Amino acid sequence: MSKLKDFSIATARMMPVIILADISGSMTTYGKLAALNRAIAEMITIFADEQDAQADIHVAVVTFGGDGANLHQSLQPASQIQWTDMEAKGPTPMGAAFELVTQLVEDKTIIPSRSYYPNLVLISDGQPTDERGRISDNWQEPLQQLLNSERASKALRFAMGIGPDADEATLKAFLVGQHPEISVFRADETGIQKFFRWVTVTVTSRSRSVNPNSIPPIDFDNLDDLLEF
Amino acid sequence: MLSPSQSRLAWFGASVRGRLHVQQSRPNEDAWLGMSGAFGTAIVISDGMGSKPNARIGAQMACRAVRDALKPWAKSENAPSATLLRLVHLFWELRILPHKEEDSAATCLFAAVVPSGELMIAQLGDGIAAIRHTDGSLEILQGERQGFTNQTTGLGIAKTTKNWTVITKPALSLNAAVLLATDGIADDLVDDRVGDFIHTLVTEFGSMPPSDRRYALHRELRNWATPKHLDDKTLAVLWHKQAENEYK
Repeated sequence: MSKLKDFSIATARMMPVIILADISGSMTTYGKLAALNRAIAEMITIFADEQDAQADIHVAVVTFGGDGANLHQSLQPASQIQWTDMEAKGPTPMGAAFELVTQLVEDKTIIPSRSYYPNLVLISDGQPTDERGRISDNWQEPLQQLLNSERASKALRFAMGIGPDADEATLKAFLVGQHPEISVFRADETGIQKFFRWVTVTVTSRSRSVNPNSIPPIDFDNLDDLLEF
Repeated sequence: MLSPSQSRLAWFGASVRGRLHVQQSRPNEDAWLGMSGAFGTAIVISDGMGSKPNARIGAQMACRAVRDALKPWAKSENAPSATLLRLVHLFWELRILPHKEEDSAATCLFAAVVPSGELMIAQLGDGIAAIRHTDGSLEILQGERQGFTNQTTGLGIAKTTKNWTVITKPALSLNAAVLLATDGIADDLVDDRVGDFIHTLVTEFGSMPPSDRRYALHRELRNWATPKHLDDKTLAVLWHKQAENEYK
């Protein structure tokens, strides 16, 4: 019988995946939000079924739309999540989402220090606005705080721009400073699923790795060989 | 307070390969060493950084470098602790040759009771270094890490002794104990049970014959209860035991 069992934590180390999802009104057009809901639900299911992971994959979803950002799905093990579809509303207050994610990642009661680096995934189809729907650069300061923060700055970041109106500069700014460099994934609504499969493959590769903190993302071009879901 | 004679200081340690290294047929990249001599009594542990090609040697040489450094340092009265740390860096850099420092990076945690009875504990990189005092209170060298797991510094990375955390005590009191452990153990310890963990190590394992203790500790560390544990696991304990005639 073990004499030391009572002194060790009974849960595996966490690998957080935090999605920043644009749910502004424009996401209802061309079935974008419906496709996003399906893609996130599929990703959560794959994470929940992942058998070879060396870490427990936890997922949170922060939405931005209407008058601010909300924690649509709190950070939980993928296997315990009952996915609820997101609903679109109002403008695109992306800055509020950056603030909320920074708070989330910096909170050691939510993401303990024994966790692996988080994965942050930003999806948007438009230009950031303030809470009243006016085009605004009020996302820049919260993004800098996120990128400069002690813990959130270590995260592996992905970004997808849906459709021609997605603001390339904002999405690029979210990805700045990563090595190796990660490009913005541009596609229409039919590419949302592929983007999330790319994120899923990258995260599961990290979670199976000897050093889950050091694996670069899988190349888009090699994705088709890996997509056997 | 009387300083403990070196004969009343006891130590043991253990190190096992983590599951990933077993699966991949890679060696244990942790190391530990316990030692007694004219320089005093000391324990040291080291965790070779997993992404580095010479990590295993880096960790083993970190342990030997502490022993190398203690010998001249302990001979000098009132030598500052920074001098000892500089010597550790110097001997480690010599010992890893011809390999590059950055390819051999390793954490380094040690505790030493020098002939005067003074206790020094030093830590460079992650892991845990803690004292359980005679009254059961606990003192941990470094607080909770700021970032995430496997994000650390060590020999081969740190360029100054200011990156070390050091404490000194006038003595290691009777029944007080020092624990050093690599992050494979440290990151999985329940925060408020660290003192009890040290107490259990001393009382349950400290009294065992060395061969039985080695077997029992290895079994405990290989069957570590945290799910999906991966890392190599190493610990060392140094304590001030009661003299035989004090029990009578």
